[in-house]
Amino acid sequence: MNPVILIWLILLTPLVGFGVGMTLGRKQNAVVGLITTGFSGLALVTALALLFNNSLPQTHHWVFDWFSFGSMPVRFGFLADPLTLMMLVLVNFIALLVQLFSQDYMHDDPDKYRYFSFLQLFVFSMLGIVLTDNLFVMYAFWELVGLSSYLLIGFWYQKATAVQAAKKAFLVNRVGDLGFLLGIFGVYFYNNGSTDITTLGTTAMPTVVGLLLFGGCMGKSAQFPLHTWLPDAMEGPTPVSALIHAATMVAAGIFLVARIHPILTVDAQVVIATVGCITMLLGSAYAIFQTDIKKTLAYSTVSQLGLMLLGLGTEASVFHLLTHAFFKAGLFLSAGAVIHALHHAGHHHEFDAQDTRLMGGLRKKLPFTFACYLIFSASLAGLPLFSGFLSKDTILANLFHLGESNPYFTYLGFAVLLGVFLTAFYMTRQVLTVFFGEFRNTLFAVSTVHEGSWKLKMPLALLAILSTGFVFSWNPFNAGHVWFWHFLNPMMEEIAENHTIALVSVVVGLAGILTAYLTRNKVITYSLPTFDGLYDFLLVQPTLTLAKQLQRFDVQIVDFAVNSLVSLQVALATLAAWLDSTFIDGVPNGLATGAGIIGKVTRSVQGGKVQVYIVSALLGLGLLILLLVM
Amino acid sequence: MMPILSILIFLPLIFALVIAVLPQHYTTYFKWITLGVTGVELVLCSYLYFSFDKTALSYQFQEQLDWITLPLGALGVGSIDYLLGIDGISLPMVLLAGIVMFVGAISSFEIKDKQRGYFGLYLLLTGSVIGCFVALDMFLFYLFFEFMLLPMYFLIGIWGGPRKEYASIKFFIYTLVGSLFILLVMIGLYLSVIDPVETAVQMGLIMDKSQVTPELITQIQQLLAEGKILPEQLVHTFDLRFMADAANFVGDSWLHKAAEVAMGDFSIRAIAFLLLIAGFAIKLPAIPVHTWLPDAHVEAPTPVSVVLAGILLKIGGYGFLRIAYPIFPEQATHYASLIACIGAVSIVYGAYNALAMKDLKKMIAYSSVSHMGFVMLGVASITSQGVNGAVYQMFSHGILSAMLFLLVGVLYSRTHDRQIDSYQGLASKMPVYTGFVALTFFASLGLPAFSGFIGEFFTLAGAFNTPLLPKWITVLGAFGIVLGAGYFLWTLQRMFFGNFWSKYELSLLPDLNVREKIMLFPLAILAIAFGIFPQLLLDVTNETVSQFLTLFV
Repeated sequence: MNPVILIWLILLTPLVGFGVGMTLGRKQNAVVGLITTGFSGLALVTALALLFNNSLPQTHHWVFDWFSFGSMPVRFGFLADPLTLMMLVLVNFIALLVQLFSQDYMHDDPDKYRYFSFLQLFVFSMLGIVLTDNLFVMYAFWELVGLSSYLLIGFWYQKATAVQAAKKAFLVNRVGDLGFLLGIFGVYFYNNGSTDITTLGTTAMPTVVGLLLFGGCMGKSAQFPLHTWLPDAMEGPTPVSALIHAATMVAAGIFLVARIHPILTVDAQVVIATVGCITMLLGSAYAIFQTDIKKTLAYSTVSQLGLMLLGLGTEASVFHLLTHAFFKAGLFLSAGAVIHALHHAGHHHEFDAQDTRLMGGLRKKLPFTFACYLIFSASLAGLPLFSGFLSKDTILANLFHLGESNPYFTYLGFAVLLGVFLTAFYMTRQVLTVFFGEFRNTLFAVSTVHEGSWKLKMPLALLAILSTGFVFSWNPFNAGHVWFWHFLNPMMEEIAENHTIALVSVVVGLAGILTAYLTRNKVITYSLPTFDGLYDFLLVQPTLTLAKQLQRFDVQIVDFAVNSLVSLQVALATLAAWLDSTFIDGVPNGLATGAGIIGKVTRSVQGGKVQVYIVSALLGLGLLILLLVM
Repeated sequence: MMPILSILIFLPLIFALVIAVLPQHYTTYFKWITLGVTGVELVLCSYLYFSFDKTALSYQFQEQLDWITLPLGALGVGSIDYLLGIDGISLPMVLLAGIVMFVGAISSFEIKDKQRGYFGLYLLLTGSVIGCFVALDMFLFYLFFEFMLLPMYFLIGIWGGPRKEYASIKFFIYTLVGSLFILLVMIGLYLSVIDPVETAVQMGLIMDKSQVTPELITQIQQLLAEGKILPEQLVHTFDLRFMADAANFVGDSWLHKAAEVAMGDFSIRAIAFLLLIAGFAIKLPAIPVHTWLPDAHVEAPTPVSVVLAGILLKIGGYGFLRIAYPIFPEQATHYASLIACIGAVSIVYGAYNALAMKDLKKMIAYSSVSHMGFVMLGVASITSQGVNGAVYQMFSHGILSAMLFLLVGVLYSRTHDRQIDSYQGLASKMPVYTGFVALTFFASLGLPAFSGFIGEFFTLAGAFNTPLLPKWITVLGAFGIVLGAGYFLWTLQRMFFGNFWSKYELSLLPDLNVREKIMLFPLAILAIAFGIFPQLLLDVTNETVSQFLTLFV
C-alpha cells in the first residue's frame, strides 16, 4: 500500500477513536475501552506495516499545502525517517499495552469512556509530533499533548490535588512553550521563512534560537528548572503515568532535541548537556527520599530524561529513549499492579495503597509482578544483559569521547557515573522495601493479596522481554553491536568499544546495589525540600500580587482618573451654571430688576396724587427760575 | 442586481419601526420577528461570503448614490455619498456581525420586560453595526458609528444590572469622546481631500462620471499637485477610497503630506493619525482607555454583552485597518512601536487583571482586553501575517467571546450570581455545561485546533518578524499566552472541579437546556472549523491585505 495512506491511517485512527469514545459516552462505558484498544491495535499493525514496507526509502517526505499568507504558503507534511518509524511503533505499542492493562485497572470507574477517549487523544497528539515535518505544526500538536496530559492527570476531577497537578502540568509546560514559540519565530526569521525540519541546518542560526526551542523540551521533558510538574502528575491514574513517562509527552522533548540537532551550536550543546546533568543528579537525589512507590519512579524518570539529554539528541539519546520507554512503562505498570492488588485486598480500609512504608514482603504473594519488577529495575540500573546497560553505556562512551576534545564533557561523564550509583541505590532500596521483609500494613493480612488477571500480566511480560539486552544486540555486553544503530542511521560510524567505561559503570552500579543492601534497615525520615515552595515564593505569589495590584491600579488610578475627569466636568458645569445664573443671566436679570426699581420709583412719582404733582411742579418751576436768574 | 448591503442595513431598521408601531397584544411576536430578521441577515451575510470574489482587488457589492452635494463657493463643492462596498477586511466582520446578532437574538429570548423597546433597539443596533462595516464614505461610517451608541446606551441602561446607570453613561461618554476625535480628523480630511472624478465633472472635462478614465484621474491629480484647479471647482469628499490615495490631497491643505503646519514636535498629520488611533483604541479597547468595558459588561444583560464583545469591539480594529492606516501610512510606520507596545501591554495588563477577578463576567471582560491586544500588535506589525492574523483574531474573538458571555449568562440566569467563589465542582452536576466551558476556555487560551490559535500565533509571528518593531515587544506580548492559560485554568479549577459545593440549591442548577445548546453548539463548531481550516477566512482576506500592505512601501 502507498505509505502515505498508511501514515494517514496511523495518525487518524486514534482521532477517530477519540471521537467514537466521546460520542458513545457513559451509556456505553463498558465497550468504549474495548473499542479504543482495538483502534490502538489497528494503529500498531499499520505502523508495523509501514516499518516493514520495503518500498519506503530511508527518509521520505510528503508535503501538503495547508493555507497561505499572501504568497507565503504554510505547509504541513509527513516526515518518515527511521526515527519517526521507531516512535510510531513505540507509541502505539505502549498505548496498546497501557489500554490492555487499563481494562482491569479502570474496570470499576464510572467515567471509563472518558478515560479511554482521552488516551486516544493523547496518542493522536503524540503521533502528530512524531510525524510532522514542520516546527509550526509540531507546536500545534505539542500544545495538544499539553491538553491531553491536562485531561488525563486531572481525570479524577473531584480530587483537588489531581486538578491542581493537571493545572500545574499545563502551566509549567506553557512556560516552556513560550520559548518554543519564540524559537519557531527565530527559525522562521533565519531560515528564509520556512520552519521545515528537513531544511534545518542549511542556514546558520545563532545559539539563542536553538536554546529557545530547547525551552519546549525543558517543559515537556521535565528538565530543571521546569521539572516540578512531573512528580505531581502522579495524581493521574497509574497507567496514564506509564504512558506519559514512557512513550508520550516526556519523550516528545527528547524527540524535539533530536529533530533540531542540526541547528544546535556547540554552545547550545554545552548548555543542554549541563541542564541534563543537573536534572539527572537532582532527579536521582529526590528519588531516594520518596515513600510513594510512584513518586520514586517519577523522579527516576526526571533523572533518566536528564541522562537522555546528555546524549545531546544523537542516536545515543534516541536509543536510551527507546530502552527507557520499555522498562519505565514496565515499572509503572508493575507499580500499578501492586497498587491494584493492595487496593483490592484492602478496599474496606482507608489507607494509601501507594505508600511503600505500608508494603513489604510482597514477592511471595505477587511473584510474577516481582520477577518483572526485578528485570525492569535491573535495566534501569544499567546492569549487563539488560537493555538499559547498552543505551546508558553508549551515552557514557559518547561523553568520554567528546571529552577528548573538550574536557567539560569528561566531567559530565563522571557525573553520569554518580547518577548510575544513585539510580542503582534507590531502585534496590525500593525493591527491598516493597518486595522483601515483612508486610507492614496492619489493616489486613498479606494473604488476601493476589495477582491480577492476564490483562495485567501480559503487558508486563512483553515489556520484561523487551527490557533485556538480547532484543537489541546479539552480544548484550557490547553496545557497539546493537542492530538499532544500523536501523536508525546506516551511515553512522562504528561506535568505538570502550570496555573500561563499561566495566567501571557496572562496578559503580553494583556498588550502589551493595550500599542499598547494607543500609536497607536505615529508615530515611527526612526529605529534601522541593522547588515548589521556592517557585511559589518567587513566581506564583508575586504574579498573583501583581495581578491584585494591577487590578487596584485599574480601579484606583485609571478609573479614578477618568471619574475625576468626569467629576471635574460636572464641577465645571456646576460652576458654569452658577456663572450663568449669577452673571450672564444676572445682566439681563439685573437690567430687568433695575428697570423694575426705576419703574417702581418713577411709578411712585406718578402715583396719581395731585398734591405731589403740584409740589413737584412748583419745585421745578423754582429751580428753573433760579437757573434763569443766575 | 439586488442591493444586498442596503438590505442588510435597512431590513432591521424597518422592522425596528414595525415593532415600534405594532399593537401591544403582539408583544409575544417581537422576539420571533427579531429572530427572523437576524436570521435573514445571517443568510444574506453567508451569501456574501460564498459569492465573494476572492481574487478581486476592488470593493465588491458596491452601491453608490449621490446624497448631498453643496456648492460652497470659494470652499469648493461639498459632496457626501451613500457609498457601500465590502472587501476582504470588511467581509469577515460582516459575516461575524450576522452570526453574533443572530445568536444574540436567540439569547434575547430571556428578556421578559419592556420587550417592545428591547427588540426595537436590538434591531436598530443590528442595522447600524452592519452599516459601520459596509460604509465606504467616512461621513456615512461616522453616522452609523454614532448611531450605535443610542441603542447600546439604552440596552445597558434599561435592561442592565444594579449599576446600569453608571455603566451606560460611562460607556456613552467614553465612546463619545472617541468619536469626537474621529470627527475632528474627519473634518480635516474632508477639507483636504478631493474627489477627482467629481472634480473633473465640475471642471467640465467630462459630462458624466461614467466617462471617467484612469488617465483622466491622473491628469486631475497632476493638475491638483500643480495647484491649477480653481478652489470653487474642487469637489471635497468623504470617500475613503479617495482618502487612501495621497494624490487626492489638495496641495496647500493641512493634511497634505508636505504640509508644514505643526504643533510643537508633531506634524498635523501625526496628530490626526494619533487622534484616530485614540478614537478607535477606546472602542477596541486598549490600555489605558479600557475601563468602560468591564463595567459595561458586568451590567449589561447577557445578549448585549454577547453583541458588545462579539462585534462592537471589532469596530475599533476595523477602524485602524479601514481608516487610520490607509490614510496615514507613513505615520503608521513611524508610530508602529508605540501602537505595538500599547497592544502588548494590553495583552499582559488585561491578563493580569483577569487573574485578579472574583466575578466571572468581569474576568472574561478583561480577557477581551487581553485578546484584543493581539489585534493591535498584529496590525502594528504591518506584515501579511500580522494583519491577516489580526483580522483572524478579531473574527475568532467574536465567536469565542460570544460563547464565553453566553456561558456566563447560563449561570447568571439560574442563580443571579457570577462570583467565582460561589461555586465549586460544577462538573459533576452540570457535565454538559462544564464541557462547553472547558472547550471555550481552552479555545480562548489559544489551543491549536481552535480559531484563537491561528490569530494569536500569527499576530505574534508577524510582530516578531517585522523590522519595524523591537523584539522585546513580541516577547512581552507572548507572555500573554502563559497568563491566559493561568486565569482560565485557575477558574476551571475553582469553579468546576473538586467536590460539588454551591451557595445555591442543586435544584437551581440544572444542566444546559435546548435553547442554550442551540446557541453554543454551532459556535463551537465554527471555532473548531476556523481553527483547522484557516483558509476559510484567509482566502478572503489575503488579497485585500496584500493590497493594503502596498500602501506602506
